Amino acid sequence: MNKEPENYCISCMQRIPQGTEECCPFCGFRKSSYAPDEGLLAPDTLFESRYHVGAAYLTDGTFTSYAAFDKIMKRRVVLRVFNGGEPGYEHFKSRGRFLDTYKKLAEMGMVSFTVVYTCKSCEEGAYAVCEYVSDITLSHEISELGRLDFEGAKSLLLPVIVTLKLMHDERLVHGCVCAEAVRKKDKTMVLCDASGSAGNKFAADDVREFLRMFVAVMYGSAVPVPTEFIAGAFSARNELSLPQEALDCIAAAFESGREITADIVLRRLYHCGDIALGIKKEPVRPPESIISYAVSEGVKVKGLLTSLT
Amino acid sequence: MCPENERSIPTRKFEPEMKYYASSIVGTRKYQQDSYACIETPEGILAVICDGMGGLEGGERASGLAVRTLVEDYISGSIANIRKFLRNEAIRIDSMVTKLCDDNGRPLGAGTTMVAVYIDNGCMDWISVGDSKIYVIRNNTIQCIVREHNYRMMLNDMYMKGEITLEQYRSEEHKAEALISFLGIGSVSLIDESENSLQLMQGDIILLCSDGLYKSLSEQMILAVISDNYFDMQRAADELTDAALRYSSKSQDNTTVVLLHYV
Repeated sequence: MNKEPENYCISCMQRIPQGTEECCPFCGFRKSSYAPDEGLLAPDTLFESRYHVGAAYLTDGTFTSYAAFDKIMKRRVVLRVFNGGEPGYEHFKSRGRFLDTYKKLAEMGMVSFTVVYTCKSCEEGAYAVCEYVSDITLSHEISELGRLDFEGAKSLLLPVIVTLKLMHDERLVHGCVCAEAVRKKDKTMVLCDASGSAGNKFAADDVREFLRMFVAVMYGSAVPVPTEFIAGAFSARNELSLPQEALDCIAAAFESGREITADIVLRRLYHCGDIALGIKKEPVRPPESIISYAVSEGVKVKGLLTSLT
Repeated sequence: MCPENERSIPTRKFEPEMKYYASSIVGTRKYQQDSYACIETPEGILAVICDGMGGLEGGERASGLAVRTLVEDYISGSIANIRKFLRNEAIRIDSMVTKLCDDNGRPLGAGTTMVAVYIDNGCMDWISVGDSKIYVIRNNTIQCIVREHNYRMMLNDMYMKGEITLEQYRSEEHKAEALISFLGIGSVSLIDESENSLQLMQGDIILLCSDGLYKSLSEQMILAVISDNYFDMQRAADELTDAALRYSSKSQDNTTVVLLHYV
């Protein structure tokens, strides 16, 4: 690795003219405002003699994501460098999982997941190079679009759910399935993050975030709502939580071996969200009393639609 | 000429049928005080919406009682004259609602509006007490066929007759929304009802709604929502209640719609 003589904005990775290094003329990012933590790749590093490294924007226990520029393909990319801690058995195991995850993702080529260009072993352990996707998140889109109706929410998020389902089938989990983690690509929404799962279950927190994402799309801005209940409060009104039914529905959809249930899940969620926010009344079966009364009176009821219970 | 062409083409008489859809939302209120029902029997279809009023659960009980009573009486009664049946029901339910009591035996003081239509062989009869509405949508036009039984109606009437001045009218206008007729008022007398059956035409849509709908959406908007979703009337019903919520200025009342489509 060596330092790159060319000038790039370390945030948007656009080439910038000499003398504008401090403040990017395209995105306005101030280079002096960025101070990478110890152990991270320094800005302007040329990684693997190919990737011009920019600012790190996400780091967790497994990998760090950097904005980067692919000098060969001449495109902006996201560089994920594995940082699995001290060398040893655990490091080796999680490095293998990291590589397996990105290899699977590259092979699967899912519509609602950012394209994985490559993943390789390297001196640092391993890295993956993914498609650069805009900074526009679902959260931003929600604030722009406002509340979506069912069809709108479905067309926006159904591919994401299907992708999650496919990932889950491959024992891959998404770290944080929330409106802030889903990004806009052309006119669709894509997931950008994944990791291997030891089990085949979404963690409770993931389920909660997943639900919140849908409720946010259908009920307005994705303002983070303090979670006051174990089940989570998903309402922007901060006083209602989704019924247990919704949680059960999600859990059942992703833990069962049934056919794609995404459509059903979303429809169900939408409905549960409506009920949770008090917009819709829980549907009820036609009251048996009326039906049986009609039978006793010898009247054939051809149809009954009612709010009576 | 080919013999086949001489054959008469078998024809089948196309009988329009009535389909019905409903959507109901609580809005921003704490309780759902609207109740509705559509019941189809071999004789015809009865659709009703009641919008209850009264503290705590009073409104819910009143509207539920009204809908249930009307439906059950419809099932049990052999109806010779539907208009008479509907009028008698209004009077009977009015009396029942006035007698509603809480757990301690104290009168609830609840009430409810009621709009109901009965359709048999494309002929429609209706009744209305209170400020819920019935619209007939035909050839992309919308027409409300009942009056809002509120103080504004009375004020308008008095002003038109010259019984009050414009100043008096304006000084009373803040009470304009107050109902002057509802079930539970006791000895209800102000009732809108059909004098003759309305013959429906194929494609007609009958909309019954509580006031939550028309206080949020103009008739033009209601018409637009219905025509935008003409081929999916359940969606139209849902869209109407959704739009009522979306376009409400501050709080949104309980809103219920029933759509009957003669197709």
